[in-house]
Amino acid sequence: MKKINLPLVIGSLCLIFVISMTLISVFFTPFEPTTMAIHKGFTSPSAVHLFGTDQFGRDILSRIMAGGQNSLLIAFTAVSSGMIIGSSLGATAGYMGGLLDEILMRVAEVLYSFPSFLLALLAVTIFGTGRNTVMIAIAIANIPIFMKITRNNFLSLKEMHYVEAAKAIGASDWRIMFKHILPNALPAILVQASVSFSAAILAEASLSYIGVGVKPPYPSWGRMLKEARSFAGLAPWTVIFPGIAIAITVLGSNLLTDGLRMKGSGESKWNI
Amino acid sequence: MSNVNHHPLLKVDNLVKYFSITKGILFSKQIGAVKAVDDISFTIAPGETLGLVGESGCGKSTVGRVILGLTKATSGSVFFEGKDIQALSKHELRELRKDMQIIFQDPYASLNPRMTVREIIAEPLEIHKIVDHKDFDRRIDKLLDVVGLDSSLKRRFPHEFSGGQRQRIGIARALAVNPKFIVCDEPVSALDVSIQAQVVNLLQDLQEEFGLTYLFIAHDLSVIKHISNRVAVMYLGKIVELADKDQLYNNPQHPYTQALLSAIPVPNPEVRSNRIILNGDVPSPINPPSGCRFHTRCPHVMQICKELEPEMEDKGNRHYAACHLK
Repeated sequence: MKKINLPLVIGSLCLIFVISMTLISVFFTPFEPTTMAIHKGFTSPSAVHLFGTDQFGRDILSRIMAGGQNSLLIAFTAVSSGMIIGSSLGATAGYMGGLLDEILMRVAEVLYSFPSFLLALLAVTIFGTGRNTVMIAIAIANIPIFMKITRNNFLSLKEMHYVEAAKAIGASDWRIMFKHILPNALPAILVQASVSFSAAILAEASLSYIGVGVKPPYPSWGRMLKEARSFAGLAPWTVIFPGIAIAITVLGSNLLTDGLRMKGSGESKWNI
Repeated sequence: MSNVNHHPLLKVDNLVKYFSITKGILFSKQIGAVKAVDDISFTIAPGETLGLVGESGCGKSTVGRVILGLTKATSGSVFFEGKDIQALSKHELRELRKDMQIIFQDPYASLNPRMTVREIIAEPLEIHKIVDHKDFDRRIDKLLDVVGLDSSLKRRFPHEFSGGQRQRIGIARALAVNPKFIVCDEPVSALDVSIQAQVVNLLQDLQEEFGLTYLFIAHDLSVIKHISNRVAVMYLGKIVELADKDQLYNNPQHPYTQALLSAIPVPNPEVRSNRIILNGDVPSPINPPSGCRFHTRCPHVMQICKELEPEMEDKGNRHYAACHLK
């Protein structure tokens, strides 16, 4: 009997749905997401405006689709750059060991001990508000997380006999790190990446909510929530639908994580 | 083995390996040392198999790793074809890897689970540019054939093989560089008894075919007896007896060797064995006993054993033992 990895399937479907809607928005949205039509302000959901309109009469469905571009791009770029930088540093620390390891990991712990919101506000004072600042802030917050997880995996994997065998046949340190250790550490790193991705979506929303993220009139999911918060009682659809978009993405990413973990515990190729 | 001792392939001189035990992180200081290998010397002639036998934790695997330069010796030297491997640069040591290889004990841990059999065997070919890229597959098929595996299996991953098959893959990887000398680090200890014989016989056939020299590390005396020309017995980081196989098995000089040999089961219920039972455990290598390291468990212990460390002594017929008993 074939077992279906339900979290993996549902998680992937959620993310595929969100990503494809966002990709479609590059070429097509029902209405122009930034064009205002004041006379149509606060139209409740109908056949024309499926999710209704906001205070300026902008179509909410169109804004959610286009806002996904910002939200997903920020989360993806921030997490992948945090992952690349953090994992490289962590891999070096774990493989080389010694004093370098001590220094790098102490730095990571200092970075880790700052609340990520504080880091973000620090980034804002340095780089000003905007999309790039949010990306940088989230990336920096992710670096120590990936450093730790990669370093710990490298530390234990470098003692494996197949690493010693590779040394015995004369493999260089680079080859050992990339061909022997990294592929075996990758599942754990990827699980962390999907955890970080959902956190990054929420972080982008919170930062845009306090007003340091994407600049108006361009939409992002967090930005939409911020703009609509004073009208939540009057026109609840203005907050409900962006909220649902965030929820689906975070849920999808979390389910994907669980699915990957399950795959890891069941199959010898994915030891996490 | 007529040319034994004339031009040894490998010469180990007063080899010492201590693993330091440190305390503290930034300002660490040494608080002790595990004396894994403590002043051992031996030679291996070309084409010979030297068996190295001893209990778990006596330092026999460490000897193999130091010889290959996988861990640095604390002092002493290892000469391979006259070259001191401790003095080689990183580049020269890498070149030497072509001549010296290792087969590991655990066939489940010694193959990278993310690489196919083909990738595993191709790696040494790639690193040392043994053959052209376009000849890789022919060479890999040949190697698999030599170790008795079907070449159609080369796209598979290690977890799809049994323990014996995995060990054959490990052997093929070691053979890929055309080595002269192979350290066999308990290559059959993790295998079923029926598979052990196959792998030992394979190693013997390969030795004949390619003129290999082995350092065969094991704790199983019957396996050692089957494959070795000479045997060295280790106890707590020291070699206590070293002799030709027949000499050692028929006329053991050291009480420790005698005790080990008496423990080999004889497949005949009629034979009464005079088993020598040793008391106590192996002492800690962090703080080994004074004098002869075996004195705490020796049935023939004398006063001198506790005070003076016995030297390796020729008992005739190139039979060396380190014991005060005459």
